[in-house]
Amino acid sequence: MDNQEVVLAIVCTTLLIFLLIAVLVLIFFISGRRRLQQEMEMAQAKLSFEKELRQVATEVSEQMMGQFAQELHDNIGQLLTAMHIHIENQKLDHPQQADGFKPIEIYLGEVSQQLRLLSRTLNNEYIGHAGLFDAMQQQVARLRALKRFDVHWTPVQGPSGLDKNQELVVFRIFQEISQNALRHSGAANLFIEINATAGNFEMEIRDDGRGFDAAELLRPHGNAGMPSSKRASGLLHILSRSEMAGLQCEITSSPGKGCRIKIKTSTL
Amino acid sequence: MRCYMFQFVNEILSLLLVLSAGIYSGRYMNKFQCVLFIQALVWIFFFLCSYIVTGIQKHYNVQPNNQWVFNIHMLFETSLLMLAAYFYFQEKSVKATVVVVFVFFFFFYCFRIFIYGVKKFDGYIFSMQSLSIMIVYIYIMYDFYINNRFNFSSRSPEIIACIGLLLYTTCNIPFFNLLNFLNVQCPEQSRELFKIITDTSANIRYLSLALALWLIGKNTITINRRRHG
Repeated sequence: MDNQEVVLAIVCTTLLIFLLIAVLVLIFFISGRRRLQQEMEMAQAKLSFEKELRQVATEVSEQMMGQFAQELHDNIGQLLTAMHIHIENQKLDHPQQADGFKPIEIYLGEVSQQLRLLSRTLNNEYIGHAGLFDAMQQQVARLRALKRFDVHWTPVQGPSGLDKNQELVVFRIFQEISQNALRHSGAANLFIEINATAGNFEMEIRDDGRGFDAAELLRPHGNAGMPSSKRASGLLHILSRSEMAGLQCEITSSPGKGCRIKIKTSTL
Repeated sequence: MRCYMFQFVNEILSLLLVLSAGIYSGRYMNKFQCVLFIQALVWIFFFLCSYIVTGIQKHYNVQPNNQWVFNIHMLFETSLLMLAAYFYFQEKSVKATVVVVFVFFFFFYCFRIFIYGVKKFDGYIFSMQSLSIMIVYIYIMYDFYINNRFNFSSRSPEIIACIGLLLYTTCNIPFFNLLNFLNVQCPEQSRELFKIITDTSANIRYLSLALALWLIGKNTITINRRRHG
């Protein structure tokens, strides 16, 4: 074997190795890409199934709330009206006891008022008919009546720029946030700001309560990528509902610094 | 002299690109990428040393021999590449395997240097180095594959750097093992082969690294821009 042959052998071996590595990398790339594509398809299918499931759950809960509102209005409302008539009759029959009925009448009036407001906020048809801002006004009135914190809200007029489905979702999210503020925040003030101009919608709700570590609470854990804490389920629900309605949702909070939730249309 | 300069420019060009890309992306590198960049800097240092040594030897009319520089460099190169891999892996067992591979290489290196000295380039050390790097860096690529990050469209910087490194180490095994034989038997052809195989593969390796480092900066800047609207 002369020197030329040795050189040739080295060149050929190097080329072969180069080709081998190139083919290996190519196979890796192709199979990796296929695998990724398959997994993406599976994830897509899973996502659409989950979306459908959430849609069904939302529809069912809306239907149940509608029935509940109907029941409140038709049944309990009627009973309260009957009570009111009965008291009026008693007052006519016994005018000397009229003063004794006054506190009962006041309480009965408040109960009727609260029931009417509750019935309206639960009824999605009412929200669809009266509009988002009117429904929010009703909810604010309910919150103010509870006297747990000061609600800072300036009534808004005009169209929200959202479709009916989005309005319902925004309203339910608003209810969820206000319930969370009532139950967990210990806040003294709740600020509601709405900016609806030129087809764009932005709603910011913030409180000055005890707050929480939003980054930690919403941090995905485990293989499923879901937050581990049960406390985060409400917040997760808000996020998923916003996403489903094509809205952007930002949750900002840290311990001792209250909580701020911003919902806006994707174009803003 | 002109040929000498051309070879120098050819070899240094890809390294300059690595340097520029490294400076561009320096802030955004993780430990793995950072050590790969440091390894390239160490190579630039040794590369310049080899030219300086050759220049000095020529100045004093001594037979030029800078092979011992590359023998020393192999230890630094392997140490840094193994350190990068050590930082890359999260699992303790895999980290331990990287350490074992390095320790095995280190003992082999010491044994060869102790027996045969440092003056002549040792092809067997290079083979052992290549084998160690192949084991560890193919595993890194496999790790990318099983974690679904082995995707050409995402232009993963780490993968690009790994491919360049693997091409360099594997393609040079046959030539470096016969380097001393060729230097004695046909020095002219040995030099030609060095240019064809080693220079080309080194250029591929460091161009890949330059591309990888540039992508790190570019990807991070793009993500930051998207985040901040």
